[in-house]
Formats: sequence, C-alpha cells, structure tokens
Amino acid sequence: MDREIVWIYLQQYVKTKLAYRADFIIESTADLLYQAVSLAFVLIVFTQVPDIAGWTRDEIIGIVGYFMVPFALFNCLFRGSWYIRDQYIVEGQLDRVLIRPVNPLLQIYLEMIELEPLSGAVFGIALMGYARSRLGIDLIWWEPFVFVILVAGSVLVYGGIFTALAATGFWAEGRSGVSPLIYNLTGYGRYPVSIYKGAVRWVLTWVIPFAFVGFYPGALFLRHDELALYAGLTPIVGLIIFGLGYRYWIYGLSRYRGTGS
Amino acid sequence: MIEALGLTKEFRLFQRREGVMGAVRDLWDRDYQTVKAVDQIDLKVNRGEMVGYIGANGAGKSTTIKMLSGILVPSSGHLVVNGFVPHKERVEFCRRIGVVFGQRSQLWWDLAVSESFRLLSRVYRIPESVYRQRLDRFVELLEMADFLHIPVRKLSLGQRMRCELTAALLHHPDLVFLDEPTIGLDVLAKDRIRRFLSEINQELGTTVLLTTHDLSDIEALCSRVVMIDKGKIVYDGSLGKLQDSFGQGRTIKVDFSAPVNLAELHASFGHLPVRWETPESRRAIATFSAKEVAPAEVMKILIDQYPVLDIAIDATKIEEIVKEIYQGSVMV
Repeated sequence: MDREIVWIYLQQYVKTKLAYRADFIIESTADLLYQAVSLAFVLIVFTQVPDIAGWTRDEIIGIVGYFMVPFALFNCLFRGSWYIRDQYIVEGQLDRVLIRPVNPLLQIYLEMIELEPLSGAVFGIALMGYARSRLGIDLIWWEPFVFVILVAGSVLVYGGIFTALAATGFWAEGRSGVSPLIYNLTGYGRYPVSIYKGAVRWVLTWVIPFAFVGFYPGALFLRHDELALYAGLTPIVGLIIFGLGYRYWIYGLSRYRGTGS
Repeated sequence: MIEALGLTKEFRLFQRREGVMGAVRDLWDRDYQTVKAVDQIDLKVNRGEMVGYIGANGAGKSTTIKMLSGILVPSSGHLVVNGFVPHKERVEFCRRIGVVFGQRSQLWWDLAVSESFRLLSRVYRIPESVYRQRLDRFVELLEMADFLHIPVRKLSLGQRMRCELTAALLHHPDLVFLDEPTIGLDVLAKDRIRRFLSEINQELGTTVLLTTHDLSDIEALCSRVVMIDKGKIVYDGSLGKLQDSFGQGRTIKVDFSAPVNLAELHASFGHLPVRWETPESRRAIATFSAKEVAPAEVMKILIDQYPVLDIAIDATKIEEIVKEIYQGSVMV
C-alpha cells in the first residue's frame, strides 16, 4: 500500500480541520454524548436486574467499553462507507477517484477520514479500566499488545461488512438502501451474544460476525477464558471479512455506470 | 496511443411501471431494456494527434471517454490505451493520463488552488524542483497568478477551467481526455485555453482527445474529427472535409410585416435549392447549403420582393449536422 499517499491525505485533513476548530470540538462532544446515552441505557437496565444471562453490570460495562474502541476507529477510518453509495456511485464522484493513480477505495476512505469519533475510543478505554478495577483484574504485560491486535481485527470486521454494503450501490438504482438496517444490527455486537437465542447467536458469530466487534474480544479482557478461542479468532475473522468485502467491492466496480454526462 | 476495436458498452435500464400497483409489481417482475450506449466502435489515435470527438447529447461521447480513461469497463471489444488495458491496470495507467470533465471538478473544493496543485504533485510523485518549474510555466501560460491563493469554490468558471487543465497536465501525461473543456466560457477564455492546449501539444507531444459542442474549438485545435451518433462512429476524417460537406448549411430566419404564404416563397426561389418553412404566418425559415446558394442572393430576393422586418442568419450547428448525417440527407 502507498504509505506516502496516506500521509499526504492526513496532512491535508489536519490542515482543513485546523481551519474549523470550533466544529471539531462540537462534533467530538456530540459523538461522546451519543456513546454516553447508549451506556446510560445499559446502566438503567441494571437498576432493575442483577445480571443478564449471567453477565453482571460491570462485565457489560467492560464489553461496551471494548466495543467503543473499534467502533470509534471504524467511524474514523471507514466513515466513507456511508457516503459511497449516494455521493460516489449515484452522484458519480467516483469518476474523479477512478482517474487518480491511487487505489480507489483507499482514496475514498482517506478523503472521508474524520478524527472526531476518536473521543469515543478514549471513553471506551476508560470504561474498560473502570470495569476491570471493579472486578479486581490487574493488567498483564501482554494485554495491551493483544488489545491492539484484537481491535484491529474488530475494525476490519466492520470495515469489510460496510464496504460490501456500500458496494451494493453498484447494483441498486437510486439512493438509500439496506445500510440503516445493518446499522441497527451493529448494536448487537456490544452485548453478550449468550443472551440471544441460538439462531441469532449463530448469525452474529458466523454470518454477520458482529460478535467479534465487541463481545468475544471484550470478554477476553474480563478474563472470560472460556471464550478465549473465539476472541483469538477475531483477527482472522477480520481479515476474511475485509477480504470478502473488498472482493465484492472490486466486482461491483466493474459494473459502475457513472452518471449521464 | 489509442487502439479500440469493436468497443461496446451496454447499459441495462430498469423500466419502472407507473402508479402504486406498478411499483408493487416492479418488486418481483422487473422489466429491463438493454441500451447500447457505444456500439462496436473502432478508433485508432496516434501519438501526438489532437482529435475532436463530437456528437449530439446522448450520442455516446462521454461513455466512450469513460471507457478510454478506465472509469467504465467495456461490455465487449478490444481496448489498449497507451499500452495498458485501462480498467485492468488502473493505477499505473492513471499515472500517464490526464482527464478534464468540464462539468465536474477534479480539484479539492475547499483548498486554495495552489494547495490542490501541490497535493496532486505529490499524488503523481513529481519531484519538487520539476513541479515548481512546471507550475510557473502553467501559471504564466494560463495567467493564473491572481487566483492561486483562492479556494476553488470561489473561482469563476473560466478560472476554474484553467486550474482543471493545469491539474490534468501537471504530471505531463502522454494523453489527455478533455470532456467539454470550454463549456460555458466566453470567447476570450475559450481562446486562452485553445492557445494553451496547442502549445502543450506542440511542446510535449501530448495526445489530446477532446469532446465539444463548439465546432470552433475543433477548428482551432484538431486536424481530425470523429463523429459519433447513437453509439456508432458516423464520420472519421479531416475537419476540412466535414465542413465542406456539412458546415456549409445555413438557415435564414425572416420576420415579415405582413403574412406570407409558403407557395409564394417557393415560387420566388423556384430556381434555387432552398427549403422553406413557415412556422407562423409572418415568419419563414429557409435552409440551404452555402455551397449551392450564396446567402447574399437569398437575402437580396427577400428584401426586393417581400416586406421584411428582420433577418437572422445562422450556420448549421453540430447537432443539426449529426441529425442530417443520420437521416441520410447528407452523404459523407
């Protein structure tokens, strides 16, 4: 991959951002608020019940905390996937991208990068710390390294699924599509899949593997070693899903029809 | 430089039914129609040539350009451009070509013009000293010094187009595609762009493929014209020959102070090959070829014999020429 290109685009992004500092602060705060609300929802549930399918309040906070990290990175790096269908395929902005000597998908994601969501990652790590201290879990030296690898895997799961979803735009006519539906599904990854019935659980593990974005890797950092095997699969699942999503995007690209003129 | 054989692009169009019930039926029973936007064209362009690619709206110009530049994948046919199959070896291919779409900007909307150029110079890996030198030259040729520090979105159309050309040529591509580079510009701006293009072509030997609605662009730049209609190439040859065959068409629109009738007009011009129409009782339109009839002669007869209020004379537009060729009223 073209490392210099990534650097060039990032520099440009920072330059534009510095020109709109107020926006940056407002958007970061909005992002954080959104995360806080979803956390509040969990806390409210736990005022009524002591545990959900054997998972305590602190454990759920820990998993939600983990989930926030890949989710934030996804929203930062793969934000373009939300815009590919309407702006790039339907409006034909892809024309411009396709005549530059850089991988088209990389260009779109770089153009659309947004750093505001990263506040969510900081919040998530803080929540994990809080949960772990409540549960009396100490830091082991290898945990930060494993954390980075698992987060990368989780981000790739999201990236692959949303790249594939964006690519459906090559077939569909007009705007809007299935993305909102799937977006609603993303939330499922942040709760223990063991609370779902067999079929849903199977789907979230093996079909739309959102369980690898939150629950399985998150559980590892709460010392749920019975799920360690699943957690370990996260990077592999991530690579496979992203590979498939990318292949599908390439296939769709050959069907791009541009706009009228 | 460009070698296309039997190049074809088909689009499948989804025919929507009318009304709510129609929309419901569309859910499972879709009606598609296949349209050939580009139909089996053969095109060979040599290095250093400047070719004008013309045709009416929807004739297949843009679709061809998009296939040649690797944006669209051809449905069938053989295509090699600058030694590459454009859509297959896209990244390497793009390094050596430049594209300008008159209707769509290639530049970063919010960035100052000079920032956009700098960014492009790095995307195309142009060494700093070379970049400086080239940019200075472009700024001079296109007189851009005044607006280099203005964001692209604040530029006038003419200024923007000069920037687009610079953006497409900074990396000294072997081949540029220009899709309507003079659309919406005034005569002065058009002239500046034409002079720039011919200079670049002479100096660097850049191959240029240009689509336009304005025949005078082609007159100024291209020795060769390719005309497309309904996806097929209907003319490929010199501009001179094209003009001899069709560019001689004239229309004269006359307003009279009293009603005239068609039979009377035809009688007065009976000895000349002039076709008359009377869209209104006091208005008539004559079409003829300047090769066969001198426009002055037509005007003289009109003024001598009729109560003329106003006369307007026009040369035939590309659209009309294409229509004429297609209808077979003019033979190539």
